[in-house]
Amino acid sequence: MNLGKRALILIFPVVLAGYLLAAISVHVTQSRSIRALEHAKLSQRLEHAAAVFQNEIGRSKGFLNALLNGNSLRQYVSETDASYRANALGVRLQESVKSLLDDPTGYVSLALLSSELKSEYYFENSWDPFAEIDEAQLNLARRLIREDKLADWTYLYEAGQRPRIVYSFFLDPIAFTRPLPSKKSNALLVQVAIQPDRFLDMQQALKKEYGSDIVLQPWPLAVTDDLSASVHLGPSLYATLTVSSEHFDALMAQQKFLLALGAVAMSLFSIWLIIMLIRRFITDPIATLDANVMAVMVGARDEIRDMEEKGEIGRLTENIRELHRQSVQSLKLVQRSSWTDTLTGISNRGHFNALAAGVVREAIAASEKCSLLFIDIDNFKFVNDKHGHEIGDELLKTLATRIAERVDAITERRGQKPAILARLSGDEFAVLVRSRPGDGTVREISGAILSLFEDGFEVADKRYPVTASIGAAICPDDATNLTELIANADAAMYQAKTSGKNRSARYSRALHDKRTRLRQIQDELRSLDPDEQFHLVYMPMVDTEGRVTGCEALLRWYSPVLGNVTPDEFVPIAESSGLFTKIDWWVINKAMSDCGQLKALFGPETVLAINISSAELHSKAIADHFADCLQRHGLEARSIEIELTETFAVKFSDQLRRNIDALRQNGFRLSIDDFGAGYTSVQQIIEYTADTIKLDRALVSNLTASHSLPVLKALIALCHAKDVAVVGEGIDTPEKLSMLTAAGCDLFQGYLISKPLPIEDLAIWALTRTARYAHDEALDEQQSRQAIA
Amino acid sequence: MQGRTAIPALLATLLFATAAPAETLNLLIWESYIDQKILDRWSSITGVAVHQVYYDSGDTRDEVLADPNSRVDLVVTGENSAALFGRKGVLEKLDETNVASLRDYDESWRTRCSGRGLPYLWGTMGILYRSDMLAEAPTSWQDLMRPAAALSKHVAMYDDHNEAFVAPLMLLGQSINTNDSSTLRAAFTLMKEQAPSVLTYEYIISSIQNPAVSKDIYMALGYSGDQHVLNAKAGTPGVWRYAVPKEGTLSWLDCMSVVANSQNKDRALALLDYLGSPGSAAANALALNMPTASRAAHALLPEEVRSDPAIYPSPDILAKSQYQQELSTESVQLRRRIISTLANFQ
Repeated sequence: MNLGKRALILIFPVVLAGYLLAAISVHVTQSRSIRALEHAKLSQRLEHAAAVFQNEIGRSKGFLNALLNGNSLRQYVSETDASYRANALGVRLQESVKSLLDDPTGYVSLALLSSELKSEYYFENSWDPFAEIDEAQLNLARRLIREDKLADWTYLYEAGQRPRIVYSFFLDPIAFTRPLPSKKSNALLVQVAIQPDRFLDMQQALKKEYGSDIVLQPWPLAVTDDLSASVHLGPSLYATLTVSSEHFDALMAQQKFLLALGAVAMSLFSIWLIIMLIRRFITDPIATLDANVMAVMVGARDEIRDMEEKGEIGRLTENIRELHRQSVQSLKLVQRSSWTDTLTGISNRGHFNALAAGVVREAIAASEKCSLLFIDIDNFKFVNDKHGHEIGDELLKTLATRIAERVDAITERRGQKPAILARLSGDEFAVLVRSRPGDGTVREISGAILSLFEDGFEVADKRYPVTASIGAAICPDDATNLTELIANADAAMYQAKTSGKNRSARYSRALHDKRTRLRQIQDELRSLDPDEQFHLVYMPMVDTEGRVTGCEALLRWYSPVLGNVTPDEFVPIAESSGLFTKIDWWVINKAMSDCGQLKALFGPETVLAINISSAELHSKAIADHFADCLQRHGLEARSIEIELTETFAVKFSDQLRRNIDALRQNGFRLSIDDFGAGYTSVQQIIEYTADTIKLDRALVSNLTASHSLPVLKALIALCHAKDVAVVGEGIDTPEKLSMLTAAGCDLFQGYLISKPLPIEDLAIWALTRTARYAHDEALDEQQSRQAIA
Repeated sequence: MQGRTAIPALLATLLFATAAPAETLNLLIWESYIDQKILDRWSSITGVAVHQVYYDSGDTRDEVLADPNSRVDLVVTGENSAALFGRKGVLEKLDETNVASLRDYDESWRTRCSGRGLPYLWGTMGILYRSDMLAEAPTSWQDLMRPAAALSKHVAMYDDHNEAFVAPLMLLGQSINTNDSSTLRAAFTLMKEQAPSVLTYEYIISSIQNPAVSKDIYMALGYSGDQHVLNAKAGTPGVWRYAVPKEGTLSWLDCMSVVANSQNKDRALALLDYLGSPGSAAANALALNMPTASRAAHALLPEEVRSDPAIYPSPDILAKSQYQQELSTESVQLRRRIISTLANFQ
């Protein structure tokens, strides 16, 4: 329902009720005065009728006087010859009578009566030429002859008769004058009768109007409640008119109807007026505003038009305008923030993707080129950890500002379109520049960015040891879509990072191949069935006596697609892509299943060493898996040694410690692998209790080559001090063996002893070794005896 | 109606105004009822002017005669009026001693004028009609009293209490002089039925001169001879014609009398004698195409006139004709009221 209709529905009953109330009030107050007015009107009309009646009496009297004064009547009366009187004088008298009438068709009669009531002459001007003097008039004549009156007027109005005023006059036929009462018996009675037409008309009109007849009676009106009036017409003659209450009620009903009609008409007019005014001054402005807002909503217009209205509507318009402005502003803000990296204020990854995709498309479409520089901050995590996030954030902000400055300066100088700069993630930035190939823009930008990190990066007058690695990829040379472009630049960045910090690298074919192989390895790892492609080889460990004390299970992968893939190549990939759990769990199970065979070859005390990625130890599940496999293959925990590369200690966490403790408590042995290759501190060796430490083959080679026997001795002594057995790895020369033996090393492992062998080959190795061992022993015994001897 | 009220006024004016020193005789007469040449001749002989005062109905004439103050010297009356006013002494008694030319008139004619008038002209009543409007000549009073629808409002009647009743009473087969009230009532009924078709109750000679109605009158009640006056007045020779209905009619005689209290009674008697003389009477009859009652004058008329049935009605017509007789007082009153009612309430 719109406002106009609502206003109509609200206003109409109120206005109508108001006018009806007013009409009722008017009716109540006016009905009394209307009654009085009606009474006055009635009286006045009756008075008028009475005056007309008097006039008619006068007329009849005038007729009589005219006849008396003229000589036709006199001649007629005095003529004694009846025939002559009738023929000659009658016509004169008749003409005289008729000449008195204004209207020749009007009624008038003249009667001459003797005292014996004999009709001497009768003429009446009417449709009936045969009419005779009627009984009523004769009765009147009879009464008048009896009475003393010599002149009289009487109104004869009996029903069924012609109503007429009869003027009677006694006339002495000789003296032609009024007779003396004594001579009345000889006198003629002259009667002139007229019909009071005007009075009758009036009577009829009154009857028609009031619905009741005038009552003629010899007495005036008795006082009644009715609307009535009475007038005096003559001696003993009163005209009374009583209006029936129905007539008055009808009158009032008519007035009521008129008032009601007026009220309704006024209501309609008022409402029309009000609606017009409301529409003009209230609803139309609102409707206009509504249309305005609607136009903005459907997008036909950007802004709500100012309607230049005053008052509430003006304010409402202004407020809606303001609200709309604020909404638009907020929307812009939200849009911007969704595109903007909150920390640095430059574009975020989403925005970059959107912008860069457009640039790439344009470049390809225009057969132009564009270059993406992928920038990664080296050691940022170090700064963040060491100096706190505030400094880290500040560094990123400063960096973003400076990169933007440098890049803008370069593109501006070169007259190129502005480059797109974005922060892709934590410490990764990207610059997309629309460069022509070979113009050195990429090199210049790379150089400019790298120069920011010379001697560390300066933030708030302090220098922090961070550098940048930049990878560059060019579209469409290196990639034809943005995703690929980013990936390739990223790869180039890694290339740069791995080849040393603070340098840049261009994406290359080799890099591409490397990445392709990496991806292939990843794909194969993800899809392979370990039982089909993986197999284990074992590398025995021997003690100083040459006895095999244990074997280290080593994973080998032969892929039908890639051929042999070395653990050095696929293990880091597996670790980085989260696939190693699957491999580890397979290795654990597989190695333990072979354990029985190993024990059969080398004795029940043979220890099986299994390499576990330190990352696995963060999960509690590995411990359960160990226990499950142990049970499955009927082994004892002390037969299993878990080898952890020393790097684990660097990320030594509580969970890791708890998992290791749990494994140890279950009876598993623990060894630290590749000791001396990484950053393991002596402190950690002291703190941490392992069963075995395996010296890294590089360390062994170094120390052997430099003849650092004392160092080796001290190191081994240190381990022994902690009650840890020491295994020398990479024993591939007798020199290494003799030196380590001299230094007090407990166990030896290496190609000198045996290369890693499948378990079947290991069995053969074990047999030959036993045979040789026996030969050697015999030889040794012989030598000993010779020496003793 | 207008003419009717105007005439008494006109009469009064004329009568009082002509009391001039020069000798003048006032002659009360129907219009076009005397040859002006004869009057002129008499005036040239005697030096006395004759002033004609016209009436157009017997009732009007009687009204004037009944007024004792009228200055009328001579009057043309009907048989009844001659008797009535003669008896009353309003008209001078005439014989060969005061009007010598009476000797040329038969006693029978003179008796009908009650010895108070010179038998002037005679004729019949009938239907006057326009031959160009009526396809056939009327033959019966029926044609007048119950006119064809085409003649509605084209009929002129006559508001004289005697003559107006000739048509209905003849149609009813009654005496035109009836005093019987019920017969008169029957006549009244006929006349009332006719009334809607009647254009005027004014005598045709008067109404033909009223431009408001003259062109619309195609048929009228009138006297023999009136057709000549009508043709002359309307300027349509031969158009107006006269017919006597087969039922019979009134045979009338007009008498010329001298008013007894005339100031110039001798001159009036002299004029009457002159007019009654054979030469004048014959000339007058010739001029008016009407029959004369004078034997001597009749003898002077050419044979073709004397044998013209349009002038001298055929014996069979006269055989069916009635003379006027004196009516009873009541009859007169009744007839007057009837004709007055018809004229008034038409």
